[in-house]
Amino acid sequence: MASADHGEQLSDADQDLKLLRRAQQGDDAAFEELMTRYSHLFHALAFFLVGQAADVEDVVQDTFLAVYESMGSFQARSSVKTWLSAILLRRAALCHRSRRARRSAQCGRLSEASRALLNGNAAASLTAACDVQMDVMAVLQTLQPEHREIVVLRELDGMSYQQIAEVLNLPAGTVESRLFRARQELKLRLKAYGEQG
Amino acid sequence: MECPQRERLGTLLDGELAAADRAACEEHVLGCVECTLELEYLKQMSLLLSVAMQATRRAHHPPVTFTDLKQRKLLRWSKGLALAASFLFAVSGFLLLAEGGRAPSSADVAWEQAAVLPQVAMVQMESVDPVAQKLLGMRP
Repeated sequence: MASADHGEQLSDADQDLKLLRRAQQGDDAAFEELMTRYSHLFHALAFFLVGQAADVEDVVQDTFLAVYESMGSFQARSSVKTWLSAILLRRAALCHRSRRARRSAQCGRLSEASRALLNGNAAASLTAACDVQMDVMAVLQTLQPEHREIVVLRELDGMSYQQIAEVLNLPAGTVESRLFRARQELKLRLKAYGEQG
Repeated sequence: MECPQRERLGTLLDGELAAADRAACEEHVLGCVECTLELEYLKQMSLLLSVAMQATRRAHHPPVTFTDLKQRKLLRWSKGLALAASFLFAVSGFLLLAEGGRAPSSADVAWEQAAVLPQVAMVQMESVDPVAQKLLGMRP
C-alpha cells in the first residue's frame, strides 16, 4: 500500500493516519480512499470471522459506517489499522451472535487439497485454493470465539503480538498463551476433520 | 509427558521471541523430535491458513462507497422506525384493552344518566294518551 507522497515515502500507517485526519476535517474522498485500502482485507477477515459469505458485506459496511460515525473520537493512541480492526471484530461478533440460529457452516471431511497441505505437499493443493478456503472457514467456525479471533488476526492478517494486544485489549503475555491454546484447538479440529471419512 | 518447550514454538515461528530466547529455543528443537514434528505441523497449518487467506483476498469485492453507507444508514433508520411503530401499536392496543375492561366511575355514570334523562322524559311524555295530555294541560 505504500506509495510516494509529495516526494516523501510514507509508511502505510502514516498514509492511513493522513487519510483519517483529512476525513475528520470533512474530506469524504479521503474516507473513501481509506475504505478502498481496507476493503479487500476486511472482506477476507469478515469471511473467516462470521463464516457466512452472505453476511460479509453487512459486516464490512457496518464497520465502515461505525468508523465514519465515530472517527471524531479517534486520537491516534493506536494505529488506524488497529482501531479499524477492533471495530471490525466487534461488528463480526455481533453478526455472529445474531445469525447463530441460522448458522449452517458445518465442517465435514477436509478436502484433498487441505490434507495435502497439512502433509507437507504444498504444490498439490495450490490449484484447489478454493477448497482450502472453504475448509479453513468451516474449521474456524468450530473454534471458541476468542480462539477464532486471535487466529484470524495472527495467521490471516499477520498482526504482531503488540498489535493483537491492542486490538483485543489484552496484556502482551496473554496474547502468547491464548495463541498457543488457539493453535492447539485448531490442530485438534484439523486432525479430527482430516481423519474423518 | 509433553515437552515444556512446545508452548514456545508458535512464538518462535511468529518471530516474536527475543534473540537469546530464540537461539535457545532453536537449539532445543534441533535435539527434540517432538518439538521438531510440532514445529513442522505449525508451519504446515500456517501455510494452509495463508493459502485460504490469499484465495479469499483474490476474490473480487467491489469497494464500499459512500452510497453503500448511506443506504445502510437508511436501512437502519427504517428498521428503527418499524420497531418504534410496532411498539406504539402494541402499547395502544394494550391501553385500549385496559380501558375497555375498566369499571366506570360513579361520576361517569351520573354524567351519562344525565344525558339520557331528557330523552326518557320525552318518550314518557309521548306515550301518554293525547286526550289525557290535553286534560292535564300538557297540550293546548
